[in-house]
Amino acid sequence: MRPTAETNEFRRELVSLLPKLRRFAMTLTRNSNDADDLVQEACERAITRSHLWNGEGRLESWVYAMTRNLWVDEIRKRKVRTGSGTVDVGEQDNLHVEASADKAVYAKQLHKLIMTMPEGLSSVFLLVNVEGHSYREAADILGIPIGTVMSRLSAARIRLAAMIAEQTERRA
Amino acid sequence: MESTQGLPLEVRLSAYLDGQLPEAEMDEIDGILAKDDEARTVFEKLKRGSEFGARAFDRLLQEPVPLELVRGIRQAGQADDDDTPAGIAAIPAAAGAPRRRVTGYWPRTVAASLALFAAGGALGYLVGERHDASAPLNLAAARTWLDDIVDYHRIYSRQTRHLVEVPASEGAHIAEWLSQSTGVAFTLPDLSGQKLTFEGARLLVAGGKPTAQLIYRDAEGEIFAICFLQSDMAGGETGLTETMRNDLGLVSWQKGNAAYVVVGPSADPDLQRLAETVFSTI
Repeated sequence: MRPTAETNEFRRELVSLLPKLRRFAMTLTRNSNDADDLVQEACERAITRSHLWNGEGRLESWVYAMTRNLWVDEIRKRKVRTGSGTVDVGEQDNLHVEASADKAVYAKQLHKLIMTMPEGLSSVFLLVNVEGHSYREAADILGIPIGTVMSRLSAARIRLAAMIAEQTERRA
Repeated sequence: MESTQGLPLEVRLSAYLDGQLPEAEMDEIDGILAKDDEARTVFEKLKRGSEFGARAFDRLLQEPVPLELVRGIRQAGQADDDDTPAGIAAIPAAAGAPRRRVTGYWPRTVAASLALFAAGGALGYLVGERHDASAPLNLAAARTWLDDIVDYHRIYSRQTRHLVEVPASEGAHIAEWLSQSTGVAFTLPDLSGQKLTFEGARLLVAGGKPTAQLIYRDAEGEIFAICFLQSDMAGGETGLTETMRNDLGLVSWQKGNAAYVVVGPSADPDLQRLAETVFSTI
């Protein structure tokens, strides 16, 4: 199949979105390899379904929702295969920060701290606080009620503030 | 706006921070913050978390995007025989790179990458990517002539009246002028078979050397450029190396006394093939 001008344009838009798609995928998978595989799968799916994209709203919202659905499917498969999957936000009460984080440079610490946030919190925080999606948009992308978006966003902010306090204590 | 009545105070304060409360509730929270020290402490904590998280997430955007993802987007939905153009065996490096296909999902190097990631954060990620990546990808190299080319391309490709210095109608002059200026003999590539129209040329300075820039336009108005300069590595020949700088894709190589690069939109599925044509005809 030779790409048409329309699909080429769509591909270009996807490429320009790649940094954001990877960042969103990282909040779901919390490791880079899985995130890249997830983004690749989502982009392939988006291209094969590009005729369904109506051009209204933000393209990334459409691809985000696709990415999130793929990840949910993958988690289900992993649970079947290994009897385990990710831990639900509500079940995970402590952030796991590597002891070696003290030795890392600040930028790497920031990266690591984000990646150690529970999936449900970091993706909501990213969508609303960082990318400016409305609560409704975030709820639609993540397939959760608005009330859950609000409570997760609040929890994410509190946890992030606690991270600053932890860092300050370590430096002291 | 959703009502937050009955929700925990920190959730209401968080929504207040976003301006996502009904008007009446905004007034109510204003009142609470005015007289309740504990509420103000929680609110300040929410603000600090918000600002800190925003900075941290911004850093994630600065990580290099694996070239494989761009290739995946270019090639998605195309038949397998479309991936390997004729004559590719003569051109090693990126042209012959295996394409990573995701079939089902990815139980591959997860454990190893997690270990690397935990051990070295972003460094672990980069090491993991290098292990997996099939094409050379300069992630943090010193500034090279290709960086200059990218800067020029971003500026000139947006020009309408002044896209070129010498128009295509003066093809013979362009060939003579740029050959003499750069010290690189060349033939103007005819890329009409790739549906590219030659627009003209410029003389640039890249890496401190005179550099030729031949400019083409496709039917959609996208600008492509072939750039070359005299190289320090006389007589050497390399395969094609593909790199990406956000929206721009570059395919570069060394041949004879010159270094070459083809520049175009990074998502263009035919950029590699275009470079192969230029490689064999220029």
